[in-house]
Amino acid sequence: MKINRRQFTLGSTTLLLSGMLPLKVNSSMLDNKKNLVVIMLRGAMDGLTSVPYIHDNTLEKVRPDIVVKKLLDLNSDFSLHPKLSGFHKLWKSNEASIVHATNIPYTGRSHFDGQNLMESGGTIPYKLKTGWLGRGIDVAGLEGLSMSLPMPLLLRGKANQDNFFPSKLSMPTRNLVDILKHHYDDEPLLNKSFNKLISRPISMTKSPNNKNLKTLARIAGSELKKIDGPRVAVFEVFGFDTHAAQGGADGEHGQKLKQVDYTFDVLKKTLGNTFKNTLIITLTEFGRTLVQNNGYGTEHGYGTSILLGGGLVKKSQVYADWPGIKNKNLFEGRDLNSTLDARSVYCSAMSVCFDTDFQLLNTEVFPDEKLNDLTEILFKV
Amino acid sequence: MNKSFFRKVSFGLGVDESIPSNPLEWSISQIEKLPKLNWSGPIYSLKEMMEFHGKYNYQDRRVLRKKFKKDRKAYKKEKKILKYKTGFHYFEPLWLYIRHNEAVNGNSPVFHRFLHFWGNHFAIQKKNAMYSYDVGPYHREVIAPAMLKNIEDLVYEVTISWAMIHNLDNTKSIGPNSPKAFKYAERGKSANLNENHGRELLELHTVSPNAGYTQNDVIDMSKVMSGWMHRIPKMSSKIHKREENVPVHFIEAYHDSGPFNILGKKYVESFGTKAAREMLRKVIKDLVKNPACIEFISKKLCNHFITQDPSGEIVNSVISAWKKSKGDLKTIHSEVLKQAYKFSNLKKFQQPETWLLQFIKMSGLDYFPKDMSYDFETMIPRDKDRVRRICRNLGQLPFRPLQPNGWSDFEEDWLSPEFLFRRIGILNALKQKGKLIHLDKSYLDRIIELNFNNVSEIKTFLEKVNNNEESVALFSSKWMLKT
Repeated sequence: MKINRRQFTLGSTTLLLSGMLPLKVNSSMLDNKKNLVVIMLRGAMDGLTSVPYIHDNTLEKVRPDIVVKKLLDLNSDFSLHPKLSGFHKLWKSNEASIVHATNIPYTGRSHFDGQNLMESGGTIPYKLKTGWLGRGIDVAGLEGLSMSLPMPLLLRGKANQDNFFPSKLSMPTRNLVDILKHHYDDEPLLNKSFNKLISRPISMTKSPNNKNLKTLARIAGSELKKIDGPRVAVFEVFGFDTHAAQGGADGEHGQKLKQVDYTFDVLKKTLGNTFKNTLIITLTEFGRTLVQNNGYGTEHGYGTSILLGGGLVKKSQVYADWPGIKNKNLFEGRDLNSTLDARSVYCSAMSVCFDTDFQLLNTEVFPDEKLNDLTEILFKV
Repeated sequence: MNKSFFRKVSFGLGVDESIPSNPLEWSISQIEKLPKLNWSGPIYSLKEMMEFHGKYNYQDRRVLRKKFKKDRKAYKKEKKILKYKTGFHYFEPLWLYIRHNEAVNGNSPVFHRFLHFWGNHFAIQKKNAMYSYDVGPYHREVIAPAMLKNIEDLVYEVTISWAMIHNLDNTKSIGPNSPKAFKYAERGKSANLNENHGRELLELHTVSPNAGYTQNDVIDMSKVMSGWMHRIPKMSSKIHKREENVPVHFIEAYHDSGPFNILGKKYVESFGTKAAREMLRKVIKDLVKNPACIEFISKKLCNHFITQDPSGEIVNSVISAWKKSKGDLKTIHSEVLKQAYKFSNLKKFQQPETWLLQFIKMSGLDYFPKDMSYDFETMIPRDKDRVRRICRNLGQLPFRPLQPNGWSDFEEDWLSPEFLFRRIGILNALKQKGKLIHLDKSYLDRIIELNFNNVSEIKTFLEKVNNNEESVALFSSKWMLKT
């Protein structure tokens, strides 16, 4: 098997794709090809802004200046941020769900440690040098290629990953390439990188001219749709760290959610029939404090929400062991608590999309913890 | 003597230079005083930059957005003009050229290697166009002079600098036990701390998570820091049209009066503004004495200048110099140089920008524009923006790290097919444009003799190369990539 993984970087947004290319393709393979899209929300996405709790008026009291109005209906307990209108359409067609009051098991409130752990899947910052998605791809017997300048930790696995990002540069002559190939022999990392570099297909010399987020999502969609195309895509959206000017519906957090919404919306349109075999899932380092601060923003918190979309979602639901947001329910008296290890959701998602046993993935990818198998609860198995 | 020392602690030697007879003395002499800038082109102070940046922020937020709230196209057009008027596109390339000029043509490249290190240690993450206006002068005016003092001074001066206070949101922090918080309470509002800066001061700038601090330590650190802020001046003030781009002050009304518990030590503040103001300095004094801080920064220096996995012996020498000198930076830097000299055989994969500067210095590439003046009316010309394009192509725009922990010092983060390709590709592009034509055999021989010990090995390697690609081969060789 051969894999393609691609990434395009655009300002504050990054897209990566990975997948596998079967040597021989037939229609049953098309039916079986499942796609996993992970959207990394850097800066700590506020689960109570994206999916506000509306059962009582606590949020209105503690967030008088940033509470979101004109919400989209979900159920009697929760609503959806108005900028997530594309996601809401999926909800109405049973193609979107939410896991709430969840987070990776990290309570330190540091972006750097938190982002390291959300990507590595470990419990001690910087201890693991690979990412959970990279290890999952390893377990499933795949190889990867990320199309970006920096290699995201999330996609690092045991196998040396390739990467690519469009540029106008070109390689020197064959003569020099051959000389360098032998020259790097005694430098293992250099040698591996150079060998990957010179094995590139000609298609990787092309680059998209239009680099806005919708274009990138369309490129991702059309690549994921191909039978022999990538199977995993990763987007990164920066800027959720809204200590100030978080705002209400049109505030900074809302603008960032709009970018997330584009991704769901454009992927749905571009993937067409393939959307039924696709799962899109968000990932962030932690949530934000319940109470607003003086800058009309929020501080680093703990529990947050995960948005899931695609045909592999079982049904529209907010899945949560809801801890409540009264003072007595809060984590350390300030944050929405997390009652579910988010890694259970990610491990279940990989199990479904990679057709790989949950227990095997749990043992190999997240060896430090026994996670809950949520595949039957959250996904179409 | 291993000539890689000149690349490890500097940017290599240019062909018109000679090998210093006493390399250690040569390097140490450069870190002992603040070097005079070699740059003769335009230069602006941090104060002037805050005016440019403030004008940009004010005009955009208060004037244009209001005036053109119903006409998006007109707004875009006016904003473009505002960017020209305030040098939005101009200053980052200017700062980069000044930085690169000092590295390549200045008299104290070793000092500037250390400045690059500390600029990255106290990184200003990409936020609010700070990379365009403020980061260059922040390096020159805040960090560089403090590099001749004690580590305590450096940490303190960076901590209360406008760039860091703004970058890490300390202005938005109000001590819960402060006069302002009580006033808020009277009005039924609550005042909160912003923990961003307090946390990073512990995590990234001083003790690191190895110190085992807790959330309570972070909260108390933030309380100590409360009151250090830039306040938007009153409307009657002359500088009120500069938004947040105004000097940092200590404002006691926002300061928490403690007591504070940080890393097991209790700090009680005595009465009065002076005591309140001095509390931050007191805490920083203790932080930089903490063994976790000494080990964290000593190791980071060795990582950067010597090798990715420095032995205990190397790191301990720096730790010992730190302790003996009580944090004197000249002594610490000196010890790093001594260790780099002693262990110059150890290899270190260089960050893209460092490699670029070594290449420019050694090759004598025609790199700097003849004129960096700007009309503040039009888009910056392409030739004056070349430095930024090259850095972007290499994947490292030095003033724009995405996170406050700056650029990585680890090989794994830089050694990927695409990163490697960018270096080779840039060399190839320069060769194709005829920019490397001056690098004939005798020129290359001179570079090799000045900068490498394995002269005959390199020459044998280059003999195999055809098509006038010897210069591309030399600068993509393993001896150049891993110094």
